Amino acid sequence: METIYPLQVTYCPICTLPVEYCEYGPDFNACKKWIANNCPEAYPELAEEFEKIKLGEEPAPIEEAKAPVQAPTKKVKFEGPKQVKIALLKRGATKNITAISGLKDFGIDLKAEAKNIRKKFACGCSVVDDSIELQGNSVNQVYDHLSEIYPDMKLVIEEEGGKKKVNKGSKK
Amino acid sequence: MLKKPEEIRTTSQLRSSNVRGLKSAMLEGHPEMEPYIDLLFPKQHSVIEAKLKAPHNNLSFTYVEKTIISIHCEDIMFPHLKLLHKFPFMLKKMQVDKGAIRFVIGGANVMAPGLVSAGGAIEEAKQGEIVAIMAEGKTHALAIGRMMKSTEEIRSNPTGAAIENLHYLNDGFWKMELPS
Repeated sequence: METIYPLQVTYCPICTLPVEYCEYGPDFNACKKWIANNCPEAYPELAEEFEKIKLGEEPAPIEEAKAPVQAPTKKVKFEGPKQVKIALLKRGATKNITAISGLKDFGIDLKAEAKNIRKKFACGCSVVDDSIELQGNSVNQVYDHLSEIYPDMKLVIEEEGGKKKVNKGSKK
Repeated sequence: MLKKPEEIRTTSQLRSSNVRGLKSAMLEGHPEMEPYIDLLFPKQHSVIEAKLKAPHNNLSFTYVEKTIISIHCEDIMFPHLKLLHKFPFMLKKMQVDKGAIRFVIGGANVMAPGLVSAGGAIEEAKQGEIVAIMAEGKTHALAIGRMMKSTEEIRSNPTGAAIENLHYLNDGFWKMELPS
């Protein structure tokens, strides 16, 4: 059969990848249900499992068991008392402010740190109550900067809609 | 190159002369595209160029009606993966073995051993050429990269990084949200 271009590629609506790459996607199990009903031919080795899913069974292979176990343990870690929050606040429609809170718990001189940041990022930076505020959006830069000079610090980036990115900090 | 979708700084319509330039640049690299080039740039829709916010000042891409066509970084240009999926003959194909897929999808550069092993296959290509990265047992491309070494060098000394990963499945360009 002659191939006609443009080729039609089936993309999985759940992870947006081409169906054959779902297994490397963020959540293969979530995709399985859709694949079972729509294009089981992409994974011939999983045919049996697809049959089961079609009959209403939930996909529950070993991989799935792993994922949820990891997630809660991580969550517990976030709730430790000592952490530095980096948040992006809005001032008016077009202006942003980066707020760093929680530095005091680590015994850091806020004024000195604000001065450092002012020099490094060339932006206005001041101490407001117990947090440092920078003019402009420098969330990622601040994150990199802090993780560089205080490698043990637990950093949390807070965006609208809750905590998104968490990293660093020695284990316990 | 882009791990997650970034904010778009500005968008601007390309002038028709610039569109012509873009088309000819595409055809120069991929002469096989000739019969299909008008499908990419339908007359009734304008071509829009978008630039990204700092620190991605060197990146820009063009899109037509919600589909990204090409991505530009300084002096290089390469097609978006969805476009490459539609026209797989656009680029030379370098195939990596199964074990490498995870890492390439994570954004890693392609290492030479993954290309010369049993599951890999390489075509002749010069250093600096843009190539499609295919995978063992899969029909579609999973990434687009730039050769860091020539094919000969890879064959004679299969160690270290061989292809720089420019654009891969589920990266920032893949998930980019376009303004309507």
